Amino acid sequence: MHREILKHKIAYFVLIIGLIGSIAGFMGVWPNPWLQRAVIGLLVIFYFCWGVFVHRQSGTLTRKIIEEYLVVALFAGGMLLIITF
Amino acid sequence: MIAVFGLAAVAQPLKFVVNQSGGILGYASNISANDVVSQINQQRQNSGASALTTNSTLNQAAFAKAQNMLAQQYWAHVAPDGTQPWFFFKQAGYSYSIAGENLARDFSDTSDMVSAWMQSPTHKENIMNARYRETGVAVVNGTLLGTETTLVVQLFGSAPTNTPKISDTAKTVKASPAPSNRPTTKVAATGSGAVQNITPIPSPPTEITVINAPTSENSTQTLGAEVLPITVLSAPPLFSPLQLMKALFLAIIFVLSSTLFYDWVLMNNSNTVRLVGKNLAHILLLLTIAFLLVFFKGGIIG
Repeated sequence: MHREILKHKIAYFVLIIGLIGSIAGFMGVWPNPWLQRAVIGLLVIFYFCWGVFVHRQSGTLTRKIIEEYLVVALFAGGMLLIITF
Repeated sequence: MIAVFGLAAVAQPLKFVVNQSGGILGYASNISANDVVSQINQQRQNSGASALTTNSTLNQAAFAKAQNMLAQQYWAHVAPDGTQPWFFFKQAGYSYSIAGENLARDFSDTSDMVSAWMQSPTHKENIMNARYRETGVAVVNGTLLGTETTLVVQLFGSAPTNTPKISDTAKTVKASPAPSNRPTTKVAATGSGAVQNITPIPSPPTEITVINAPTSENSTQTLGAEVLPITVLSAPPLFSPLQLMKALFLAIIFVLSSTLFYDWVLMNNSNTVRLVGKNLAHILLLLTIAFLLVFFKGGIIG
């Protein structure tokens, strides 16, 4: 675990900042559900782009990885989206 | 950790019984009318406004409004049939010089609900309005638009000073022109950020005449209350649909995260190289979602 984090410490730092920012944004815009959905959309896009960028930098980007990040991001975003209705 | 989150989400106290008088109320919530009034008064006193007193007639009016929303299946200040908010003031027999209404639903906690109102300029204006002297709150459970929920209706009002007697008033009103200082009803518009001024309201003396007249409207209300689909929770459900959904999602997240972690440890120990996404990143994302599922308190104000 440490090796993986140290190897991509900047990437994980950006990821954690993005996730914390999403939490703050989601809580901060409440009770406006539309802004919350916008925050969810940004989170999905951010996570997908983060994954693609990190794998591209390390030269391990494949179509399956792109699909994996897309599915995980949409799944996570979908769960959050449902509770805003 | 996720299991702890899950337990925290579903372990909220839920077993309360509906009544109208201001005790602990609510399906899937621990909102009570007394808490609402107490917290609203706290907010008012923080800003230097006087505390509101609970008026039993306004309580009845608020309850009637909540019943009406459940009966007609709408979520708005004005009913689909055009019934305006002040109709319920009149129906309950409350005459006013100024009145207002705040609505909320799906909240499980009084503090969250009051906080949401305070973040909305129009609702805050109702709460902080120094001209209001009295309030009435109803917390009612029922099925609204297919979802079991807890509705909260808070009405604000200020009775006209030196209210004349009804018998004298009727004569006076008919003879006198409309006063220039007409009462207003302010309704916090949902999401618009603006105060909606409802159509002109009759002058106070006229209202007094109407309110106390034995009209057919009063009879209709009495009959209507008997068939309203209000849930009397002698044996309330343990969890709301929202909480069940959150618990389900948390369980899914727990299974997925555990699988990803196990897979990650296994691949590290066997020094296997695969071209797949980063499990740690997925786990972090799922933990973020779990955090929000646990700590985000839903609710809608109107």
